[in-house]
Amino acid sequence: MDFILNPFVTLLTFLYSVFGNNMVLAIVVFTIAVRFLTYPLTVQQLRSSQAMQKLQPELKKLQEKHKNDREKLAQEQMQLYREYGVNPVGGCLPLLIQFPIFIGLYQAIIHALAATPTHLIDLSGRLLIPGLDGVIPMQNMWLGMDLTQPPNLAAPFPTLLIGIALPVLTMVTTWLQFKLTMPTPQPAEDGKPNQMQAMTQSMTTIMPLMYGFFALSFSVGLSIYFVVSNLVGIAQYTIMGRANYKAVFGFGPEPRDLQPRNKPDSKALPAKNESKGPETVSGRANSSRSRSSNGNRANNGNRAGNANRASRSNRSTQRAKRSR
Amino acid sequence: MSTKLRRLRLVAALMAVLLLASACVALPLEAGWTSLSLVGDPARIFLAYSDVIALINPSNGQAVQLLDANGNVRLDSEGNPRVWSVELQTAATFYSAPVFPDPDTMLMASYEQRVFQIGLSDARVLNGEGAELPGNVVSDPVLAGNRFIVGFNQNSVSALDAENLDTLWSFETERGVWTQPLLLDDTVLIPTMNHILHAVNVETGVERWSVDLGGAVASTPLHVGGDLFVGTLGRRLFRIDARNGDILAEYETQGWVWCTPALADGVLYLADLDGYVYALTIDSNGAFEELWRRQVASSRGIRATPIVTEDTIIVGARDRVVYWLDRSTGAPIADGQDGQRAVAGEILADMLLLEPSESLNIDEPVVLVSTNSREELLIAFTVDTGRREWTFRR
Repeated sequence: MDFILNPFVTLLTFLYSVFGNNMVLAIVVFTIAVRFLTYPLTVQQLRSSQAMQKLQPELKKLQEKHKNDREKLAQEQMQLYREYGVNPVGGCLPLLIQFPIFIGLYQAIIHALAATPTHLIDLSGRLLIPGLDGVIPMQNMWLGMDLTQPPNLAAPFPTLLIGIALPVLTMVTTWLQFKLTMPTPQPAEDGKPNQMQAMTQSMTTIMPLMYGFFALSFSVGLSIYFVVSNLVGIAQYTIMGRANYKAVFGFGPEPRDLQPRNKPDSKALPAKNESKGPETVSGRANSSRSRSSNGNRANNGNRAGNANRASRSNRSTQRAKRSR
Repeated sequence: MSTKLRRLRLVAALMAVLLLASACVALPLEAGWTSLSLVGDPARIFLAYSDVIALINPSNGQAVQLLDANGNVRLDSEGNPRVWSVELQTAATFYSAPVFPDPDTMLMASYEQRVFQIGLSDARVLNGEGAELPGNVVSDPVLAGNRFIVGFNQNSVSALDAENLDTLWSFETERGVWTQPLLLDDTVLIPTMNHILHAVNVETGVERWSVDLGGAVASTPLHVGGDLFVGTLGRRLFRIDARNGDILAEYETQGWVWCTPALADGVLYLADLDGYVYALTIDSNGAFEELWRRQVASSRGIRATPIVTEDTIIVGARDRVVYWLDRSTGAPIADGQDGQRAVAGEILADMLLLEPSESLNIDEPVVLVSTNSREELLIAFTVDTGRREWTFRR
């Protein structure tokens, strides 16, 4: 763990000294830096979830076809993922990679803002840049709260308000980020929500509650990280054109698709036509014909109105229909 | 998506949440470490660590039994001998030594911002739930006449009337006081985590001088012939004029210095948190001159002040080993005790050297080493051979 913790502690301490011994500012800048460094992972996660969404109709068909043979179903699904070059856990990997960052940051806050001798003594030897010892120990109080401790719900009024506001802000921004960035899955033909839709809905409820619980239970410094990270995430998705403001506020731009990076030997992902749902998706057996000329770029439906990509997508869908 | 894959995702998500939750739970660390002192007549070892307050017989490491006014051992309701233990009405943890305003009354400050008056002979708390203090206490207080001077974990030092515990003065330090203040006549020297060493009038609490040492001062200065020697977390050892705070010399160490230097025959011995031990002297120009330095415990460093004996230096390290070093070169002396110098927990607290004494019933010098493991809260090693004499566990 030291290989994560020591650079984190050093970076936090360095930022603390650069920003006038202000730990909150250091955490904010640190968070922004982390979000930018993990930006490629965010894009990968987005592409992966987009690809999985597009394969849903295919998967549905397979489930119906092999509903009595689970082993066969699993084989076929894996075959499908292979053919389209989709990693089914690719969406989870970036999230999992962020966990060590959470943990590292939490431990870094606890160590760097040591409030007692036993905590501070463990900071010794972790600072990798000479000369940072001069700012030790760091100021751990912010607006009446100890940044290393959970919000004190027994604190007097103004501090209590901030103590409650942070977990609430964490929940709201987590919910907003999920709501803005989760893909809108297609309902099944029978009108009932499909598995992905159900999962999306439960994630949108569970994750904000979980992060709210973390914000109440863990250090105030970590809550600041959560809030800033969510806000930066929303900003990143907005810049990428992937934030679905219409789904949350009823107005604003809808998200546009990212160009997937399929493997050279994999098929292009099936195009999506929201008006007709799964029926319009190109069949797996014929989809190789819809491979684009360079072999590794898929043709996608484009809700944001990119004319070129939309026309490619329509051509692809038409070819798929003809082939059927 | 197959059921298998969904289950896999669910398990992975749950494991990730559990990992995050377990890694982010507040570290189960004590706020400080053991405080060891000798109290009473005949002398007993007083150990305070978290919820453990014990009086220990130095000859055998047994808990001292509670005696009645006639000197007989008190018995509990089942007829068993009672050991000396303080029963408090409120939850309290202790990391500091007691002070004695009179021979049978001690004052003990808790981390939970309370000070208790306790009878030494009967272990009774004389002031109920204790008197309130303005901060958490992790360092030993000092007694100056009737003034009980105690530093707080946050940002101040207070002087209390030792009898009625009224506050006589308070001195703001901006950051915490994590070590025992040093009393020099009518001046108390207060090392602070704010990088400053303050000299304050004991009677009034008014500052006489202060010096910024560029690094947190977490150890008590050593006073020798008008000079103060104090290390800092800024990787420096300073020689300071005790009259006015002028810096006379400084020496750069490898790591943070969290121990008070030890002096023997004109040589200063100190250790740092990078695991180095140093032997220094003062040259004719008043500057530090290095006799030797040696890295002894590289993995976790050394917090405790070294013990200097006739030929050896005894160093308790955070890597759970007690080292015997040659005093002239710093070379480790081979362990002839089959690993008995390895202990169960980190050594953070300062050690105690007990010289042979009839009243203590000790016939050869022993060094008392405290660890943060309850299996070996206190161990007595013979100085000459490093043999483990006894172990006190809780």
